[in-house]
Amino acid sequence: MDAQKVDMFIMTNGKFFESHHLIQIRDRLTAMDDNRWSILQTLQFKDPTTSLIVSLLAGGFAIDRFIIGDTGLGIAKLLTCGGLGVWVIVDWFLIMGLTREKNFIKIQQALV
Amino acid sequence: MALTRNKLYAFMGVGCGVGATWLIYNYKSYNLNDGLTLCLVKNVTGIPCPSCGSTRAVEALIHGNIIESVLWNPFGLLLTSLLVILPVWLLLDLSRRSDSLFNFYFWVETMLKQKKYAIPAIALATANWIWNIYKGL
Repeated sequence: MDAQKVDMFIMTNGKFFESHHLIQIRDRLTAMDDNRWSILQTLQFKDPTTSLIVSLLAGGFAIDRFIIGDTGLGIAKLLTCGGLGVWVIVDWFLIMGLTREKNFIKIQQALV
Repeated sequence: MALTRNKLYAFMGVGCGVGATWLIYNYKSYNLNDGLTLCLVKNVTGIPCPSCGSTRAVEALIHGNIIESVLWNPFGLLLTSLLVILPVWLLLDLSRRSDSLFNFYFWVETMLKQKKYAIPAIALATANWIWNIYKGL
């Protein structure tokens, strides 16, 4: 794919991924065929900041876990009062990284 | 960093262990209603969360009072069955080197992501929450 397009993608979507993912994504996109660009454009990623806000406000109800797609763990968190209150606090710090990981898994699945 | 079998099993093992420890810790304070509250939602807002009272529900179940348990919080029944079934299934899976529990977990996840199961589940959880607030747990 065109280097300019790859740069554009990374500039607009860089905040959705961990910095070490970006190198991999750049390599994959550069090697990718040009006609996949439209598929790439339709992908929607979860914003890590939004998950952090949700986690801070509604972490006790495990809404943050449901939003990033961890339904099973979300139910566990909900049923245990947010892991006896501990899991809620742990997730305040983990949720942004987890969201970026989920985004990376999503783009990997789309690029296969 | 997708959820792998061993990670999920370790998590479940630790979860069940912490749950059992918590129940043993709370065993004596049953009926005294002075159990330690770790629930952040309740401590911060004063409003009980959907799963508040589930410790008391499980304790009631251990003492054999099923109706009392449901009246505290129906989530208690679910949690008790999980606490009984999960460790057994986990150990069976580990000894047989199979991953049936792992597959079951993902099957439940995909089921619950469908609207026809998700909406009733959310409605039930919300109804339970409203009941909890009404009961003033």
